[in-house]
Amino acid sequence: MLQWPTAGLLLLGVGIGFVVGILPGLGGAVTLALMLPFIYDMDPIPAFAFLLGMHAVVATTGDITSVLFGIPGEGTAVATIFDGHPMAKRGEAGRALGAVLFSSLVGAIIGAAVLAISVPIVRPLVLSFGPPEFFMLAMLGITFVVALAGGNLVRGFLMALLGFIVALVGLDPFTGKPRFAFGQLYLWDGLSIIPVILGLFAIPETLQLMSTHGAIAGEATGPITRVLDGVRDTFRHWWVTLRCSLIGVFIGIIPGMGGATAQFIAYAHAQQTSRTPEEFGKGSIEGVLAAGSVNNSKEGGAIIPTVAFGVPGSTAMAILLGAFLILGIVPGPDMLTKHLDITFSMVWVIVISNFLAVGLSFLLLRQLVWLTFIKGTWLVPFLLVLMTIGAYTTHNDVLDIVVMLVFGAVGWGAIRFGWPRAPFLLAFVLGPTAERYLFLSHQLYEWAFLLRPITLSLIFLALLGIAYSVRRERRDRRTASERSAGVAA
Amino acid sequence: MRSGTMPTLSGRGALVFSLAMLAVFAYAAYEMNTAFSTRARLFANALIVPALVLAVAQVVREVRRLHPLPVPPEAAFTRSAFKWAAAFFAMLWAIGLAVTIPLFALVYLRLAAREAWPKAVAYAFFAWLFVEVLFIRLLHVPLPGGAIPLPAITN
Repeated sequence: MLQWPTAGLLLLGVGIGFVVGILPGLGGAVTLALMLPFIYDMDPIPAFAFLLGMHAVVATTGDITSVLFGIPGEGTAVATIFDGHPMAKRGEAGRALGAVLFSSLVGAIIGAAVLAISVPIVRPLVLSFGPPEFFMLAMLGITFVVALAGGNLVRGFLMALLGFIVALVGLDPFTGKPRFAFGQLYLWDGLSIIPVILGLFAIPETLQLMSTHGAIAGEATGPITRVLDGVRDTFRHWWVTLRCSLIGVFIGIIPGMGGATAQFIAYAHAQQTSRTPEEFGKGSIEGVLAAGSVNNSKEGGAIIPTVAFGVPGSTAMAILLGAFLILGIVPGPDMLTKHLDITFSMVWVIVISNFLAVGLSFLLLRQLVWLTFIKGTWLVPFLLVLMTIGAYTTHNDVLDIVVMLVFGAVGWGAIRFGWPRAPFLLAFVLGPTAERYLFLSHQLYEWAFLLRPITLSLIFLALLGIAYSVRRERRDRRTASERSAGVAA
Repeated sequence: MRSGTMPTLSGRGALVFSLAMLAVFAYAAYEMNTAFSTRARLFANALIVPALVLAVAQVVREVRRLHPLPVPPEAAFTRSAFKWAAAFFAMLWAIGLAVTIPLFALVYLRLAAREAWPKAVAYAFFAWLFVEVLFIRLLHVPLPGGAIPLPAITN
């Protein structure tokens, strides 16, 4: 990790993630997608040092604007606002920042430690899996992402199915015949992940930035003092920090739950178990610690299914899985045997990048605040350049830009009409693997592969996820109709 | 909301989006079942059958709800954003990326972001410098050229 160019790329990644985390409106997943084209010529370890180093610190610095301005730098830093911002308003911004940043570091270390410990535990399980189990795991991952991430279940499944169909574009792996190629030689190789991701995520995000004028934060902050008090608070309330970190790890492992959910579960848990629950929402230090620790610990957890089973649980992890494929690495058993060095390098990347980010944050806290006064429109030409070059360099073909624009329209439509994009991306990334595993399973066992014990258990879990989501949808609909009936009365 | 924004989500637009989805699945079903063997279309058919059922259900749902809905905050794109994005890609097609970068940055910051001339010019210069140094000189990345040849400016 400390060799050149790995260390340099890690520093670069941390630097980019650091700024992106502070800038609301520019998401970590989009930045990860924008940086994918740069890893083509890299070896796996430097590439992951760059990408994961960037991703691992986005949530850490995202907390800074949550505390100071009540604007989350990232969607996963919303819970920090509940108590961090009230603390800043009563003149304790430094203490809140000290607590949230240090608890983020503790959370990241716990997440990375669980990732490292899980390798020998998960290895026998992964090695015992065959094609039917891997196929069903991919299906389970998609189902969980659709069912647990909220939103409309039918739309979620349709987006996932669309992602699978789009992944079919290209030569049929078994007959060599082109599928959905429309006579275009360009499509024979299938659609590359980079223009698709850039279109789905970066184009709508850039359009949003173009639609907002003015600075990200307009409010001036008071002096930032007593940062070390916040660090001491982390040790004083170590039990909350530890529990919330572990909640983050376990939620991170479950595909579809993600950071946005984890922060609220951990926050609610901290409130329920606190001796002073009435202080939550008014500037409770325990609330700040819960939100900070859960934010970063979930990354270690989220990497476990991505690396061990090839099933990403979030958009960012799906993009990271795309990076694996670009580098010619197939996640799964190999990551726990042949490529164990890469898996363990990820543990170190999470730890080192968070140490760097938190250290830099403490050193530059006062200077960092000015970044939030950058206008969203200033980023627009820069993002347009990055996404155009990123898409074009996939094959040095203008059609890559066209593909990006087509999926930009899909991404725009999805946001506009309330269709989730994450299931599409996950299905698109998992499509070729799922097809291969289904083919092998069918070849080996015919349809009896569906009756194998582990496969049956995974089907049961998937059905459970769907049942949970249907129940939640019905409950939400009932609550909404009761509310509207109450308003009418 | 400022003028030029789209404050409501048209029920018709949502229907069109669902219909487009149904059309994609219908085409996929047609191509897979006319040009491929049973074995080759195993995976595709496992997807297409539920996809068609769900897409029809979604279209029916949209037809039964043909009225405007409130736009979620994250979907409130302004029309000017689309126009500027279209302008960027039109310029890219016409004159290539190397010229588009400083020109678009200058015009966009001056007209859309209403920045002062010195700031817009400085930004355009640094945008050009960034691409020239990082992508062209250091990374040797080829940039897309335009339909109108400008050999003296583009590399």
